[in-house]
Amino acid sequence: MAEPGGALLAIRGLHVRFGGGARPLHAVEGLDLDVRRGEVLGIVGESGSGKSVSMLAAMGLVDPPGRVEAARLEFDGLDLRTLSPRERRRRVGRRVSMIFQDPVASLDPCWTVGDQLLEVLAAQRPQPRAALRERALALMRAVEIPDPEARLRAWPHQLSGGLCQRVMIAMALAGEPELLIADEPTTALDVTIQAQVVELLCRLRRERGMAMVLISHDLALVSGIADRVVVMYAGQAMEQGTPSQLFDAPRHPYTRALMAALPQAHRGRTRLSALPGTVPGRYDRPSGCLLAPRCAQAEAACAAARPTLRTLADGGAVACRLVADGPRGSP
Amino acid sequence: MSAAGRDPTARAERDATPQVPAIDAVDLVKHYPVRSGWLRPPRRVRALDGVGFVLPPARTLAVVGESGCGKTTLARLLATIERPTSGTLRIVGEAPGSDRASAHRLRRRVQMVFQNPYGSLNPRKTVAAILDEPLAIDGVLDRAARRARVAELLARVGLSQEQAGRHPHMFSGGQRQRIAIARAMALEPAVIVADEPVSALDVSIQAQILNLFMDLQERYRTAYVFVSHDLAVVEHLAHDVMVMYLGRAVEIAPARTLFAGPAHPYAKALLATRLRLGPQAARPVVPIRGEPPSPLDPPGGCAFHPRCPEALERCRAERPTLRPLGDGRLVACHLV
Repeated sequence: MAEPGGALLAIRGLHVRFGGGARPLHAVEGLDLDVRRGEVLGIVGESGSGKSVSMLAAMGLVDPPGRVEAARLEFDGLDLRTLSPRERRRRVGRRVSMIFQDPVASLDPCWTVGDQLLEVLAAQRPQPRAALRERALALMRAVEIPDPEARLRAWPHQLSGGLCQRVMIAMALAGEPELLIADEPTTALDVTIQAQVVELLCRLRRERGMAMVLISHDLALVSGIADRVVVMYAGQAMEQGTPSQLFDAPRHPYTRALMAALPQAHRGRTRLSALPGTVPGRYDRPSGCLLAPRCAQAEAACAAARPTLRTLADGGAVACRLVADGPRGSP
Repeated sequence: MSAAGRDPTARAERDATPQVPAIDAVDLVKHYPVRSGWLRPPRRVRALDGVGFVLPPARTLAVVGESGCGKTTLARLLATIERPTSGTLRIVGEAPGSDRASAHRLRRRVQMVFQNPYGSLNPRKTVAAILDEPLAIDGVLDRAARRARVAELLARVGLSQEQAGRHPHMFSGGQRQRIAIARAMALEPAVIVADEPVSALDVSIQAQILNLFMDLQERYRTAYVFVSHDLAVVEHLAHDVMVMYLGRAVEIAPARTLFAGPAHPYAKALLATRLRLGPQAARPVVPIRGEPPSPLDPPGGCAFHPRCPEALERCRAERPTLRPLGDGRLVACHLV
């Protein structure tokens, strides 16, 4: 793992737990992650892998009873753990934005699109209403919303899902953020609209030099866009690398199984190679490797100790004791 | 009009004896009235505007298209949950009648699997009770025979016997979908209509369920109508594919032919959105601008012409009908 010095967002040893008692739900377990300036980091994983909650935790959006601990949590050198919510809003709020899966639910149905967009702009820099309106229209043009004047007066229910997501992207861009966290931004959209929104995100990111964290369950989508990819499973990062390292030569048995399970990987109507069993829950969390109960290659030693992510010679990282290539650098 | 029947592999597989198709649908139309305001006359959503096909036994027809194209309405008509506004439907030779006896018989022939395994199982019943219900209503087997059959169903979909006494909330999404499939298989129907059965599931679980669908088809020669927006799943599973746009079929073709090279401009656009794995696959291609128009107010002529990159004057004026291309596919486009 690279030294966090150059990273825009540096996360070390992030833990997120929900619920009390002897066995809390361990949603994120010891995650190390760097987002560098201007890069696209993809986080992939199945439901419950901790990909969303890890980013929510980093942004201070996990409320009690959820518990967040981290050895290090920094945005551009600023320690996020010690900031008060007010300070965080003032010093970080404008520089990081998030967009979510369901754009229709992310907008308030009781206010027009214009009211909501202007509210965001006014919160960032109070200006006369006419100036705010101009800025809102410019943003709506930037995200390619047709007929922006009319859309400013529209209610969220009058817009399609694709248009709502464009409005959310416009809001996210309002503060000219350095980091955009996009959590399944196209999952709720139809495929032709998904392609449009993905292209828009890529273009905006390029033009503005933003870093982007793209959280998705869609391996194919992430593989085409990301500079680096982290594969998560049951709260832990299993493998990390460039898309070609991961998708052309996956190392971790979980990454391999995930890709083998894709219909794209098969020719004709053959049986898919499915990973047996299900993701461990709160009560059957293994003490050793999290994948061990489902892993075809698992040995007795896999169930004994949980492997941590170690960096390999080519810069990729993997959390599996069966993968060769001696550990280099710090885990 | 049988895209399925034109496929040479289908013909080869077929027995010498003439075969009753699992589904024979002709010009199915479903309109829903929508109230447009106080004192104003209700308007009509043309959810389905004339769709027909023939599905032989042991074959899978996938229905693809975007939201609002009518694929779920079609699924509900085929599963006889709803009645068509017009058109004829025969399921293994029998048209749905209005009497209870007919409805009863049809339940043995067609069953449905829904998208959301969390919403389609009664949370207050045990799995055994859920699987027993269709058998009890069918009324053919006695209690002991039904119990044996429930055990058999559980085994068939890969669930253990001790899970029979549990309630749906104790199962994961993939396991619930297995229960829903077991329930649909209970009466060994000739047809299963599955509406997005794997889209709520994770990749590794999706693979398990797709395998189960294929295994069951091989064993029981069940015909599937598989509604999905996931083209990778469709390419893997389907024998034939129907591409829908705004309530109509724009292309019906053997899966291999369609995925090798779609003919209709909309089918081309839809297939262009498929993402390949790996960095060299680069960004998704943006195939078409804009969004589908409202089925309340569909455009005249070809419904796709406002978004079609190749549209001509004729496309604005005249609605194209499905016609055979000679290679086993049917296409509704003036330009093909």
